[in-house]
Amino acid sequence: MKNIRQINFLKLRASYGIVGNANIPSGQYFANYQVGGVGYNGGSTSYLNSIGNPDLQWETLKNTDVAVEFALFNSRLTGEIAYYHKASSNLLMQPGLSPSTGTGDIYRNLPNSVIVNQGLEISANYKVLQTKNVKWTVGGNIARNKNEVKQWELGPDAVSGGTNDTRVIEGLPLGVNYLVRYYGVDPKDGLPIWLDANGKQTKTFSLDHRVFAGSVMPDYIGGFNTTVEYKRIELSALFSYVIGGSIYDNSGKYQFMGVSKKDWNFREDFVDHWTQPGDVAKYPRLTYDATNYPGLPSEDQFNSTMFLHDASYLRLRELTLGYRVSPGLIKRWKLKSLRIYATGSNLLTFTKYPGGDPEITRDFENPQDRNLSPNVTYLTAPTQRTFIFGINLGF
Amino acid sequence: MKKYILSILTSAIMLTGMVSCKKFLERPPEGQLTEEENFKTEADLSAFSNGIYTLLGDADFYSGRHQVLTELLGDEYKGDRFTGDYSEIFRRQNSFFGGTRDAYYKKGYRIIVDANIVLKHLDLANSEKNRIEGEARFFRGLAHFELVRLFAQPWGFSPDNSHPGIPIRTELSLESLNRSSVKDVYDLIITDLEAAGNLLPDVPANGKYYSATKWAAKAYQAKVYFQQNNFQKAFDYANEVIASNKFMLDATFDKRFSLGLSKEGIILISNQVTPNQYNPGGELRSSFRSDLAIPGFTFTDQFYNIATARAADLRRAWYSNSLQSGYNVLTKYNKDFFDLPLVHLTEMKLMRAEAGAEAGGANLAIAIADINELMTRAYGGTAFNLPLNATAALVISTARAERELEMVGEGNRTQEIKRIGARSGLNVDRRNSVWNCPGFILQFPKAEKDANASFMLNPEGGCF
Repeated sequence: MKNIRQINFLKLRASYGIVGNANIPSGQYFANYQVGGVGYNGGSTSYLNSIGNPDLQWETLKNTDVAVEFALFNSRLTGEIAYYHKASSNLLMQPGLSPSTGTGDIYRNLPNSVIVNQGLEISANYKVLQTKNVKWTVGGNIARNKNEVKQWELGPDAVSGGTNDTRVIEGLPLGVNYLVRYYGVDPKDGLPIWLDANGKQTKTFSLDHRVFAGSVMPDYIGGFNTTVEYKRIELSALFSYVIGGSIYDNSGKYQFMGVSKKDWNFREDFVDHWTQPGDVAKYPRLTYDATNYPGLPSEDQFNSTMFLHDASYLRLRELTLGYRVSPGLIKRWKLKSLRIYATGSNLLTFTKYPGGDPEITRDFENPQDRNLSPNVTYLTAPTQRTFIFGINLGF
Repeated sequence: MKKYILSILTSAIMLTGMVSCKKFLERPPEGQLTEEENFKTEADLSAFSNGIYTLLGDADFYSGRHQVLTELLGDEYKGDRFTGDYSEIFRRQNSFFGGTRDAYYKKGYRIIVDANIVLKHLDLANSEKNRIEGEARFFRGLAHFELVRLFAQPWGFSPDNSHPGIPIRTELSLESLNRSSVKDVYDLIITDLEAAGNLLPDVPANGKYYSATKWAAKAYQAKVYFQQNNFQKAFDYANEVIASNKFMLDATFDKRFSLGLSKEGIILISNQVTPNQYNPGGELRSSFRSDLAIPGFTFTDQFYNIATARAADLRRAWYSNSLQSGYNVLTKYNKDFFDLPLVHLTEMKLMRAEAGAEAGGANLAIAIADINELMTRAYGGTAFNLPLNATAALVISTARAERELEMVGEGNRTQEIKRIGARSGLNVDRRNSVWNCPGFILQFPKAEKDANASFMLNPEGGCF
């Protein structure tokens, strides 16, 4: 292989390991009693926090990695292709205990549940031009991460992510949207039409109509970048993108009702709603109280595909224009280098998502919520757009 | 030689290090006690039992959530300010997701499981054994009673009460359990309260009724029998409590929720100031308190008019339609702090009156005296008192009306609608639901079903 001139560098790496999951709080094995901080009626108190679980075992994660790194054609093309496969079994979670046990949540192993994560990640950089005056490189990466709940031993609502947003269901990706499907508006009365679990139209909402309606995990994520240098001017751009997956707009259900019992602000994109018989609208007639829609027990249960959106987007993450002042000019200021630049981040976003920023970062405290509900918004702050003008000095 | 000693020493240190390392790793984190560590002496057991009182006084239980959930199902409130869980329950259409309801359910079972833990370690008890066991049986019976009344159709819903109740928990176990019949649940409640009544002391050690005595157990037992429309037993137990002479009717109607001013409380959760600050009743105040903001709970005009109909009624002070303009509000809980009575003498008198009239015979005269005592206090004189030859029917209807007025905001009315419905098929609900409609009870947390596919959830809605 040494003799193949086109190949400058080639590395194959692979690993296999069986590891546990250290992301579990300590002391869960033991019962947790605690002396009360506050006495009662002149006597001391003590409390049970958790009964503990002496049968706890390590979660098993079988991890396989294979990757090829390469540099070709005088190192003009560099890159990496990587594949991983992670199978978690004997999962350690806090689900599924009957609340009437009275003991609160405890960590348990789920011996009959298996979750598989696998993915392929490709990245490459190519130096298109390398002349004295012009330098141009392009690069990009794409990753396909796929997970699947291979076996699952609990009911569909036993483990939820976030604020009751997503579910874990056998045969589906981890963290799926389990929602009543919204079919459209009845032009006669403006009431929503739903699909029941069998796909039959109904105007009566029921939590029993919920089905798998989307996954909060995208199909592909990645980015691409390019840098052009001409003499002392440089221009670079970085794009990032997401293809597939869903965003669940959890605050939308309240914003839709606007100035109602909840007193939220009404959102512009809901203007396309039914107002009079014959209207063909995207959204049903407005209501002060969501329970005016037949069968809906409360506004909190108003979860449906009405608020589920395509998560795909393309974003110009960063654009930089720079100029390096010639050494001759700056010599008398006793400087070695001087660079002036302007950078804008998040300047452009192309998305069908109506609720603002499609790049969702949720702020859940515990990892289970973060893992299961990454793409569920609840007034999530948008990524900021910034402009930076800068000068780099070198002495 | 020196070298030799040094290596022995090093090895010894390393060895000890390894042993203690194992010990270091196999212990609970700082401040966390294992079951063995927490239960070593009778005092430990007593402390754990003492902690259960603060669970009774928890926001998710008697500090308000219990009363609030019961009041929501009732017929006195307007309901236009309720959202989420509260709105569902008020609409008598509670669904299986609902964090507030779930928290109440879990707290009830936490009380039960803690009582079971006390009973499991009862062999630690010596001189205090009767009291500690009695408390545990009292807590367990009481929590089952409150839960079965909210999550299952009432006693009398089916002729033999074989309709589904709630899971019965008599030992610490992680197993999922199905619902027992309402009859079996009530059997357990009565057995527990009867035992508690025999085991608990006559007077509390410190003379304050901030802990359970036999009278608390008997008062709850009277409530249980009354809920079953078992009038003779309800009369007998209420009578025992009243005849104990441990409790006195307050001279005025407004002392029941106060800081130590009431002599009515048969068991109260104590309000405590620093260093052991503990203030029960917070959830009642945040739901009903009307002097600081418009509360979530506001009365319908219909009920407000009923409650304030008689100009002489001193209890009219419990209502206002001017404090928050445009809203009919309760003023009973417009206080920063109070001791929280769980059961009180007014309720016992009301119960003895109605049960006495129902049972008839010599009890009727006692019933009339009871109701007149309360009416004299409420109306500032005898103008509305019943004649000494009042009929049983008049005593019953008067006792029911006075009960609603006396115990407004205390989680009373809903259970009365059901009890009266079960008693005679009468629907007294002002919102025109049938007393046994499905949505008149709470739905179970969905987690019960997820943990146990055979768990039977309640039907929902169907009340309007």
